[in-house]
Amino acid sequence: MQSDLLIALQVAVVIISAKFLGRFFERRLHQPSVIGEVVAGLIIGPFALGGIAIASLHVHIPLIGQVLTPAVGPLFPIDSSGIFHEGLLRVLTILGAVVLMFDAGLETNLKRFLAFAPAGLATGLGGSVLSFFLGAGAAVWSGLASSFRDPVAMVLGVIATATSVGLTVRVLSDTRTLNTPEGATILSAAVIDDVIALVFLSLVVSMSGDSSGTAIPWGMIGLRSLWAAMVFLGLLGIGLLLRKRISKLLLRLGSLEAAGVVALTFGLLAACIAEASGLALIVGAYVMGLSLSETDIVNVIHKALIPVREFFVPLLFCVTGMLANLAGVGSLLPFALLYTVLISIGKLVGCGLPAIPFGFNLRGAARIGVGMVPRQEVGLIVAGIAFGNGLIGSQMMGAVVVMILVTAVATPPVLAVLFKGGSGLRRPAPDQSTDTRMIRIPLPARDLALFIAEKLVDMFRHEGFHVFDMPVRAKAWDLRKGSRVVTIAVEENSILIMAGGDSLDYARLVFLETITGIRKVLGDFDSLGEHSIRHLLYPREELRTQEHIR
Amino acid sequence: MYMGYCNLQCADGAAGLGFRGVSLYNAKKYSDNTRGTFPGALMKTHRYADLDCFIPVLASTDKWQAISELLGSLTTEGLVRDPDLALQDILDREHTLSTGMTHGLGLPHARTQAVSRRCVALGLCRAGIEFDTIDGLPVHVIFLELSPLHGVWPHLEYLADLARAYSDPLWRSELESCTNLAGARRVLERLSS
Repeated sequence: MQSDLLIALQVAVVIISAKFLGRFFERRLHQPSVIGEVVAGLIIGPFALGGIAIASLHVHIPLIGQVLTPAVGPLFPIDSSGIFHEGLLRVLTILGAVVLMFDAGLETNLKRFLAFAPAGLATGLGGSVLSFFLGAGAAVWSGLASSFRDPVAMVLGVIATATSVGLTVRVLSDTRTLNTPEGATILSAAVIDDVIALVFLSLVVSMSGDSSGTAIPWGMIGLRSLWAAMVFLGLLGIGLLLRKRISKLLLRLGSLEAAGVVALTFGLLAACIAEASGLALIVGAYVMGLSLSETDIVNVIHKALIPVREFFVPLLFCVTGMLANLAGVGSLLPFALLYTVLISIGKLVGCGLPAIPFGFNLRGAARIGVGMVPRQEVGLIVAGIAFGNGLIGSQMMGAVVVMILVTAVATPPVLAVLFKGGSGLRRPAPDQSTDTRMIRIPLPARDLALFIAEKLVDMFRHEGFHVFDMPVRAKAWDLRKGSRVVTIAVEENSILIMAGGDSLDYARLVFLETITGIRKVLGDFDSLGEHSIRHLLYPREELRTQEHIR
Repeated sequence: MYMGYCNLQCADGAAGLGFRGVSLYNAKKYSDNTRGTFPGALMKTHRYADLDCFIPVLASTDKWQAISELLGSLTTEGLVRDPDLALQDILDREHTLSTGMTHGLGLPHARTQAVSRRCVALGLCRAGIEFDTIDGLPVHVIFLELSPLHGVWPHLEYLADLARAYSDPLWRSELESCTNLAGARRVLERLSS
């Protein structure tokens, strides 16, 4: 088949199947869409439907000639040695990984991380390190790797490191337990998790093409990790220093959509620096996202990138799923199960135990541990990179996908049961007093509260605030301008205004002016009277004509 | 999405829904200037020294005269296109709820079609003027602020910051002892540090 035609067809098939299956898993099976996208990849991949030869059209028109060259072949061909070459799809998945990690950086809440930093750091570190060793150990004990320093063992260790809290967050927000100390600790620990996984990933990248099984010296591992950590922190420092300049520059574009897309290119530039320093591209993208997460246009960028994300991310996970040979897992199945069990224990114990000194009881520790078990996005990206570097094959990809599917399906029910019990703390939670204060304004009716809240948000918009509709069930807005952050929410009949320090006084004034404006409007409205409203609808001439007709 | 929203905003305001007391006539008169004010001003923050006029000793003895006097100073500077409309908008706002604060501070203000940029006038009155304040005390310091009806202006942010700064008695006495525009700007500028 012609290569241009093939790639267009491949992308179309990948996107369509990934989007539809992703939505199906999300809506009907209440699983994250990423699981559906991976399953789509398994189904249409070269080891399943994609491997079946299809005939392309062969049309011969006189004078014009052949419109399509005749070819019969599979949509996703594998070569003679059974290896699937993604071709141009690989370029798109690399971009997809950059988009995803940039977005993950944007979504990271550095302030919340810092608020729970001690507990988050301990649980994140504990879980990452134990999972890394148990993941690598699973390979060693199954005889797939000669030692812990074998590249295959290292790759499996890194895949085991990064938690995906997306699934956990969904369960916790469904059971309204996201704001518990356990929930906050999980979110904080997940930041550390990502960072450690990205640092470890540099080891995988540096082992490019080295699948000979030669053990890497411990000294080298230490040095490379140190270098990766230094580059990470250096990039983050530069990013945080330049974040205000970058956001000012982006706003000069005068279009919010353009600002979002150009912000992503800054992520690409940072990705280049990371790659040139021997780290992975996604590390740079993540760091740039993290830096921009501390600006007031974070939500603007996030929103502007939705179409880009909707295109690239399903493609990334679907193609990653296609790399896996699930049918060929057979002999590796015992390993896949051992790997799944061990790295689940890794998170359960590694995150749970360090939480206990921070005031959690066994129940709280178990909640945190189980909440950290699912592995998805970063694990898949790492596996994809390792596959691209020839460190693992399609059977091993299959084993990794088995692990990801099992942890995704098993975690939510366990978590839901665990969160049903009493408190997860040994003693009542200490007051997490922050600068943020809240005022609650009760109103006679919900409709009135909603009406006033909308006008209030409008007033803030006129004051130069960036407004973001928060995707929560209750109506809520996140407003940002410079260092000021104001949250407005409507809860039943009340308007809640949350703001830090002097911003609350400012918010009070804006509320007062909003009410004043509404009173003025209502006064104008009252002055109309029923009689004149009728006249507005039926002008005098029309009324006269009607009377005349009568 | 955001751009679309903004056009809606302008259209909404210019249609004379009267949210900030604009008559249909005046809205039409100035509607040409209301288009496309967004989103160039995405990051507008005020500077404390944004003071256009200063009257060290107000000649007025009551609230409405004082407002007119301050508005007159802005008009003399050529900052107000339509003084009658500006006065009407300020009075509309003032009649709905007085802007007299505590400790002798008055903050009359309006968003109006009569100006094309945010402008501020400051007037002092040692004797004090009845201003229908929260604590019932007469005012000694009056800031008059006018901002364009459309577009992004840190209109209330400036007032909120002023009110907060004014609760400091030391700063208050410094402001009340100013004798010229440059001096008043210097005292205000100190707030930004």
